[in-house]
Amino acid sequence: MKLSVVGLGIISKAGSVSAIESMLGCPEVDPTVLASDHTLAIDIPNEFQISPSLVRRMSHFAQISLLSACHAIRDSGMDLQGKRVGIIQGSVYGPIISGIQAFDDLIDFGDNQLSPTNFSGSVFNTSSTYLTLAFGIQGCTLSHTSGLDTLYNSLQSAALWLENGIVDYVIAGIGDEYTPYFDHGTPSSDQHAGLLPSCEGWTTFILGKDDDAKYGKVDCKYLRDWPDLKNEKVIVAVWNERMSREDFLHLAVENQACLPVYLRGAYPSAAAFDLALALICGKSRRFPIYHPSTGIYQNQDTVSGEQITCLSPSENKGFYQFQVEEIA
Amino acid sequence: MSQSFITGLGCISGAGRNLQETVQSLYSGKRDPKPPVRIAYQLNKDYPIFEVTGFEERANDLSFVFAKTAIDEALIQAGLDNDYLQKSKVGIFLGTTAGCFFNREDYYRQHRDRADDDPSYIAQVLLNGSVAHQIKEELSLNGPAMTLSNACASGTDAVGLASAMIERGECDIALAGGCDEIVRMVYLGFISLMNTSDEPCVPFTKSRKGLNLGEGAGICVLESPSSVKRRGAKPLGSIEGYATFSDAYHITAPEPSGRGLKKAFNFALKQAGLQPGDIAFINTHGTGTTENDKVEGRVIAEIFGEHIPFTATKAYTGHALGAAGGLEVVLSAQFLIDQKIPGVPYGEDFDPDCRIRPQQGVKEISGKYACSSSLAFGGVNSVLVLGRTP
Repeated sequence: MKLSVVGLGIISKAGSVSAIESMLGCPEVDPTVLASDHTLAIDIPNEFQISPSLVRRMSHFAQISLLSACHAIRDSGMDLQGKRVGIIQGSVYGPIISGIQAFDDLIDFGDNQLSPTNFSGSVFNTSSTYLTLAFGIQGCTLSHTSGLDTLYNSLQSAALWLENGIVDYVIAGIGDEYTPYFDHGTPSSDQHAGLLPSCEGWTTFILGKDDDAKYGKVDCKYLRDWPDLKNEKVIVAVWNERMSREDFLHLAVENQACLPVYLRGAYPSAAAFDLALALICGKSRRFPIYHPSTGIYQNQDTVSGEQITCLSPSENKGFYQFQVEEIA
Repeated sequence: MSQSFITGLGCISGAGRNLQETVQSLYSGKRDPKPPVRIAYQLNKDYPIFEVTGFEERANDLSFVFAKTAIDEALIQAGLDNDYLQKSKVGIFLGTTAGCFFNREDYYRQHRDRADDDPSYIAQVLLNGSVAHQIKEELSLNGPAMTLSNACASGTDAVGLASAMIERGECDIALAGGCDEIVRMVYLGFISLMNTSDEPCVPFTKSRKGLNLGEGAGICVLESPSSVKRRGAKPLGSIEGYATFSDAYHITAPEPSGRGLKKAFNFALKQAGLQPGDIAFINTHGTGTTENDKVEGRVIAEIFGEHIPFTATKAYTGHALGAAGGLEVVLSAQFLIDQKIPGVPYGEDFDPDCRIRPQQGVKEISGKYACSSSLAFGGVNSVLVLGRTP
């Protein structure tokens, strides 16, 4: 499937789209100078005239997805009025903070003291429904939670809607929020340490069928095996037990690849950030190669004809390949 | 035009352990919601639910168990064995709401305040919480696996998406529907929202005062026309149209004019190439809550007329949340085959505000097409149009 990307909104430890573009303009990036906060600040832009009381009622999970969508819409320069727009939101952990708060209500205050706000905030599709309210979108909505397949499944559903002519554009946001619960104890092993998120983030793609989309097109495929990567710049999503960090580092060195985990922190749906980074690299023709020996990303220009690919592990032991088409 | 054929149906609910038991309960008007057995709570009042009992030893993975039970039944009816499944491109599309995290309260309760605890257990549970992937692994399926969590429309959306994926050629066969379980968080959460009835629910009646929760699973085997032809399968029905639209109005209340639901009905009918008069009956969302039933009834009356035959199967299964849409598609397909629908309890208690008049007792119907509607948290409105295969 191929999708045109007309806008991007990134909420991440590495900053927004413009911050990442600036970063790529530098000769190198030392990830240790990036923000170290687990939880990211939410500041909804005034230009969208979203009711402050609506934002106040939203959980952090819904707020971070809304902020990401605002950035993406602004980045696209699109006016939503009069367009048929669908919303897809994907998350692996879902609104875990509200879920934990709801558990705390029951434990601390008793069975008749569960806050309806915490309970409704813990419903998985809370982010997509708040987006409909914030932007007045009456089109179709869908919420995915399919582990490491969440990004691919979300994009596949978007492609289906676009191909069937159900919508003109899709706001597809994928991310996860961070909870301090994960700081609570000491992981029992290094293997488990790799499972614990160190950060949060949300990435929104405005997808359409335009031939002259701002970020070009992305071709998404499932692969059983690690592909032949001749003449490709590779961004590798690292998460979980499927492959050890050492194996990924080895691949990075061998392929002169980028491992964005040190830029955006670790969270299970972060492949969406990595795809967005690939799209920004494709547009700016710059690419950050990670050097494990120094821990520094060195940026270099891409050569014409060189393809940028994002590889992400799938749930069934293969990979998803997201190839960015070169913008003419 | 038929997008995908239904070749197998399976379900488990508070009304029965399989499809036959469930429809018999519905046709005979039998229902027996009771206070929860499996979950403990301390409240001054009991709120009845339609619980599936007998799986207490699998309390940690009930959504999976329910889904697998319904899938096994549907596969037998479809005449599909493991060998055939592994040779074909088979996808799994499941809607659910509670099955990922809410059922881990016991673990959280035990470990919350222990400073030396390892929180990676919860991370692992969440990471592996996709019930579609659990089923995919169990059955060694090789097609797409999607878990949708679109609140109470999840099962309907899963069937609609699966049908579109078959049409797009992403899979030859799809196991599609919903599964969900009642856990403490959900039971107490719905009570906190004050939309739960302390009596058996009575959808669309004047005396309705809320929903009863339910649980279970409803699964259809969907197949492409070429797959049906290749193996000489006998279709039971078809998915003819699907649509989902948002109210963009309120996080918990339906938009009073039902604009999202109207769009969903109209779009699904258009996709099916049908007119409202072609629809033999509607299996409504019909939860028994004051506002939902009123909006849904008015929209149905406006589009289909006040005398369209309809049923509200949540009166017998309870509101099974993410499973509800799956259960209702399965039941609707069976009603089309049987050419009859179950009545609505206390249907004589007509509420003019709803405009559509529920009938008591089984009603014979005559026609080839039916609609199944789902209204969900956040103003999601999803509609499927089903067809009967002669």
